[in-house]
Amino acid sequence: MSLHRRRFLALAAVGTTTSLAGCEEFDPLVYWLRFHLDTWVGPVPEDDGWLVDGRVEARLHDPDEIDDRDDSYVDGFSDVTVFVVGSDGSVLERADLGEYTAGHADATEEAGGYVIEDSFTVETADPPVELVLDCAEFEDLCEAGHQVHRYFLPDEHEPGHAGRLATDPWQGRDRACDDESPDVSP
Amino acid sequence: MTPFSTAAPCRRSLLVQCGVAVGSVGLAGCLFADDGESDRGDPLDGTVPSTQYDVANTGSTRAHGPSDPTLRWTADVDVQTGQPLLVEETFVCRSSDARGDPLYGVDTATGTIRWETNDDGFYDGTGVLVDETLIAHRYSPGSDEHELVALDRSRLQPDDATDSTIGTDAIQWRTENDHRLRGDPVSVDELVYVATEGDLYALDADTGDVEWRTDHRPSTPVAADSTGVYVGTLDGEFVGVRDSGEILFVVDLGHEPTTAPTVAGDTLLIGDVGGTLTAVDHDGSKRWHAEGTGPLYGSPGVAGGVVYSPRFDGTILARSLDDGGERWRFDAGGDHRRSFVTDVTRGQESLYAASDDGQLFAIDGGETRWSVELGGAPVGAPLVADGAVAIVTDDHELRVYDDGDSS
Repeated sequence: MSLHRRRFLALAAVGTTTSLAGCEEFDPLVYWLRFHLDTWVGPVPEDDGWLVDGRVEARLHDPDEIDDRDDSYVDGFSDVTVFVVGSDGSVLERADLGEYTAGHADATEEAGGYVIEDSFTVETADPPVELVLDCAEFEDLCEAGHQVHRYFLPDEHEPGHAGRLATDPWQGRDRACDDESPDVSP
Repeated sequence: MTPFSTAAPCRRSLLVQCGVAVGSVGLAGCLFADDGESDRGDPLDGTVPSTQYDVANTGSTRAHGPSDPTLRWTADVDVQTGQPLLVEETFVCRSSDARGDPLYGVDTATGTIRWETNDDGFYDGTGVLVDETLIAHRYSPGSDEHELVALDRSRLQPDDATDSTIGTDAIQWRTENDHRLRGDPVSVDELVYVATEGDLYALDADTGDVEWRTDHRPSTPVAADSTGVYVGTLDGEFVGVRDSGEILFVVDLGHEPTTAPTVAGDTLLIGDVGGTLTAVDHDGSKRWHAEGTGPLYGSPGVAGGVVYSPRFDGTILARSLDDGGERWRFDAGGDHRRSFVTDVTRGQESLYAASDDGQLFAIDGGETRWSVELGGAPVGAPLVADGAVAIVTDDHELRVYDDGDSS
């Protein structure tokens, strides 16, 4: 899979940038790869398995439309993957979602950029306790202040909680830059 | 669209909502509509002082809901409102606001604001009404600073008709260094029982002084009666505590409790993450249990010796309170997302429940009496009062349905 051109302004792009007097102040875009809060986790009726019926959102730019923000944008995510993690920390299943570019988008947003929505379903034998998003560019994205998502059940809750990620006790976080992808080795 | 956040979503564009409302009920019903007074409908009678109607969490009311539901108005509220309270023709709700998350008093007739708190606090849930006091949970976003505040209800009416905000002088007392709450508190005989993420405690409703505290780690809101208070814990226990603070019982459920307990006379009910509804006596001895698929989140409604239990698998089971025997089963149909994860309300003539895919049902004897499409997932139980039903959904709407012109 080819890596799309993806350049980041130095970390100065993160946070409000104030330019010289007389110039307009703007908030640089934060790019993201995140779960839609409607993502659903639940037991399969009449079965012992569990279902993750989810949606992923990504924000990026079309490089052909970038003018005055050279070197400060994200134009693609590749090897996008959802890891479904069990209570012992192992990966129960994964969904490989491929690459996202502006060509995959069907909407733009007011703040600028393209938003891609993708869906996935994963079935597992055991109840998930964590959903992790990953992509090939994760480390660069993270270090540039952009957001890559994980959702999890806090430790005090036992596995078996289900429902939309928008509801308790599921909690969402940006992945930390030193957060390694879940170990998928056997 | 804003960058992703796990905190409560910001207020959406009110103009957009007004535009939506025009198509169905007109501008009069839209919160902050600038056309002033509305003459749509009458105010709703009745008082609902706490979540699920009473300290026992029975979810039961003698009130009727509508027969032919028509959307009366919608108002912009925060999803953490859950089920609103009802007092003096006003819904008590929470709303997102740029300078904080105030509590709102929303006029039941028009959906417009009667009052709002203006104390720079963020409120979680709506609290509990104790006589002339509203006791609510307040916190500072991004910190671990949580507290209970007691607001003088008589001060929750603005003196100036042009300014509907309530200042800090409405606060009678406040606690400090609290944890995040598990649901709203309840109050019995001048005691307020509170479950937090770290402990269970009782305080004096008049002064806010803590009477006792236990180190149980609640996983659920509380229910109470004249004997004491009941709560589920993260350690998989169902715990009863006397009003004096003495432990009544500790029952090992084997799974983490997930529903608020319900007190139904001599019987105490609680559901867990494993899908089991357990009934115990006041001494903790088990009476019966019923297993099922998926976690139980919605507390059962109880009335007339029947337990109405909403289930994750999209069914509602009516059971005998005495022995757990099945009376009827309601199947909402639909796909795996048509799940019942919020509390239900037993009205005079029907059971009211909303599924997570945004359908509100009135159910008689296991059959659908009527259903309406809400447009969002419910975040609390339907509130039935005076011929109307009100519900808050995750699209930040408080919707009120009644019988429209035929009522």
